[in-house]
Amino acid sequence: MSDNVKDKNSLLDVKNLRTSFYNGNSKTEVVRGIDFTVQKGEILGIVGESGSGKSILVKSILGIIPSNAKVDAGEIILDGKNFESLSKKEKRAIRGRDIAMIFQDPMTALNPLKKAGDHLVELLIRVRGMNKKEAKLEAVELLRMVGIPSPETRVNQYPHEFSGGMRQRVLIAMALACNPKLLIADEPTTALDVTIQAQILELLKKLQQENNMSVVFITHDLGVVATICSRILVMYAGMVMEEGLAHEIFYSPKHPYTKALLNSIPRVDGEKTRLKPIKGTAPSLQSIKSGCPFAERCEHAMEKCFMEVPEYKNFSATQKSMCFLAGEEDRLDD
Amino acid sequence: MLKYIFKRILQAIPLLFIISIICFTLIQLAPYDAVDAMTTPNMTKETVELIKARYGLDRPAYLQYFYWVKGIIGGEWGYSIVTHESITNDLSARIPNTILLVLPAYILALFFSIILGLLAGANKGKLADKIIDGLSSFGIAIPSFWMAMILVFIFGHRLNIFPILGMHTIGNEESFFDLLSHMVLPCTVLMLSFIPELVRYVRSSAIGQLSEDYVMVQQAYGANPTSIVFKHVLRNVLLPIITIVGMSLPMLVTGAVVTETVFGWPGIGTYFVKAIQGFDYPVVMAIMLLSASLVIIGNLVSDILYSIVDPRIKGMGE
Ligand SMILES: Nc1ncnc2c1ncn2[C@@H]1O[C@H](COP(=O)(O)OP(=O)(O)O)[C@@H](O)[C@H]1O
Ligand code: SF4
Ligand SMILES: [Mg+2]
Repeated sequence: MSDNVKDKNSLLDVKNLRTSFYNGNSKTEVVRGIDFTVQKGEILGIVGESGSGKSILVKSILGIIPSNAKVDAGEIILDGKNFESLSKKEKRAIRGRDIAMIFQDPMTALNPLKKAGDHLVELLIRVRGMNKKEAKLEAVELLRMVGIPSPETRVNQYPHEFSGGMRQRVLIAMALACNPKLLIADEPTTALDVTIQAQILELLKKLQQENNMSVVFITHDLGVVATICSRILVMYAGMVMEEGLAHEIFYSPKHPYTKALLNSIPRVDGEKTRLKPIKGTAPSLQSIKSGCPFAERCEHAMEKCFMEVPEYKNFSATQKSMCFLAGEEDRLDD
Repeated sequence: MLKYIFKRILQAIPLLFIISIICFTLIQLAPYDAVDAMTTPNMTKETVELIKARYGLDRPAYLQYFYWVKGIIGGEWGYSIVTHESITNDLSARIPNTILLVLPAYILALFFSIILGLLAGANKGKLADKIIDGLSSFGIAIPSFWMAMILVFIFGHRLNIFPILGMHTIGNEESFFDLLSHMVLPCTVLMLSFIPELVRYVRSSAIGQLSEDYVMVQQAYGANPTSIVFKHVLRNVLLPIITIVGMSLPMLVTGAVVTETVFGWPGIGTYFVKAIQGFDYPVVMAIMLLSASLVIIGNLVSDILYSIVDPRIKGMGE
């Protein structure tokens, strides 16, 4: 993408990001040279099976990876600021001001011994420089904004008194409290049941439009991104397999992995419902050798695929795919 | 919550009952007759019988148990067979002395352990952690009498700044400062013996908490490491310490046996050791009963405290 749609409209630019886990002397690279851009005001979806490195990718950007992991290479530019030139303190100031993040598991993301409101108050005081009184009022407002009923009582309740969906709303309120330019949502609905999922997605979309934020929406479920994302990045084994506008990904996918993912979502077209799981399992990143990362599971794998890493091939100004094939071999609707 | 507290108290009662039965049985099995403690060899048989009747010792076992429990509850703990003194009087004279030693030592130990444990946990694997963790392993390994000897040697003998025996200088019983200076060495020994395990507990609890998701979330929102430790991790670490403190309640009685013996402190420890040496069964049993009951009461108290302090339990059963 970096060459195709490079313009002043981009908020976040990530180039050749590489992150590894270190265990004694052994090193496992889990983010393997990722480039992407987030435009101002867009919702970018990052899709991939679990274990493909989505969380570590965004945590690397935020600088909150576990202590046994390290970012080995990469350039991160947020709104013109290159992270490399920032001190530790300046980087910390970006977190919760320019970028906010919501996490997969709302059950564990809040301090069990702190009231929901106090999470917000602490943040409002630190990030928005409010005094305690203002922060308390604002906390109630934020809870109201994310659709929590009777926020006046809810602010004083502890996390265990909220359901999963309500807790995720509290976390979204935390993100909103920061008024961020970029919101990263890491599988925010995965732990929730389906009706709640839809409500949270609705809420995120509404808030994104009202506040004109950019959103990076991570999920392992293509079905979820379909409803809210304008552009999609398909990740596999720590690399971007394919990237394109939502309709390109859904209606003319080029990469065999994208096609396989699309086939694995339950679809209801007319009377026909089909579900076709991808054969094999997501690779253990330690076992990856040379060649195309998807080769072991790819229906179209050729000899060449096991020897060389394919280059990106552009299909439009917005779509590119990392595969030797031209992407026309099997249509989705065959 | 009241319901919960009430339930916990009800649960504690059968345990206390079992303990009392065990103690009573052990006393019955012991190779002496309880009446021996109250008689002298030159009393007539009739007098002995009278005394037996007065204390119910001529009744069947279950009635004797009943009288015994009634006595315990009413503060009648029997007599030493060695000194013929009332155990109740001895205990009430000595328990405060032991508490005077154990309580300040424990509170100080707790305070330092929380600081050291958090420091180590928050810097896991770094120098501060290696030093603190190393010293606590060392501390757990050294026996407290040895530590006491070393302190006595350095501060009592070489530097000669603190007294090393007893509670008061003779003739100076009223001086608070004199008492304080007598407390310094034994309290230090006790404190040093409490600290290592507490530090380890706090450290591992802090490490556990720091790997929780909510900590990562706070990092993601730009909280600095110090404020994460003090505003978020601290209370999560402190809460379970209530349990540890509650379980330490029996130490108020039996927590300083070795230290008291080394320093000749007139507390329960020295009393206990003397009783064991003199085969003074009633005294030994009384102390066992006391500390066993304190175990149960300590658990009960910490559970109740927990239910008051922890919002997750507070909300339960409503
Ligand atoms: N704490 C960790 N220690 C070691 N390896 C980890 C850790 N967290 C994640 N990984 C590895 O990094 C890879 C990417 O993980 P992650 O980014 O969480 O995947 P995703 O979010 O796409 O499900 C996985 O293969 C996982 O095994
Ligand atoms: S490069 Fe080869 S193995 Fe990889 S996705 Fe394309 S066809 Fe399949
Ligand atoms: Mg993840």
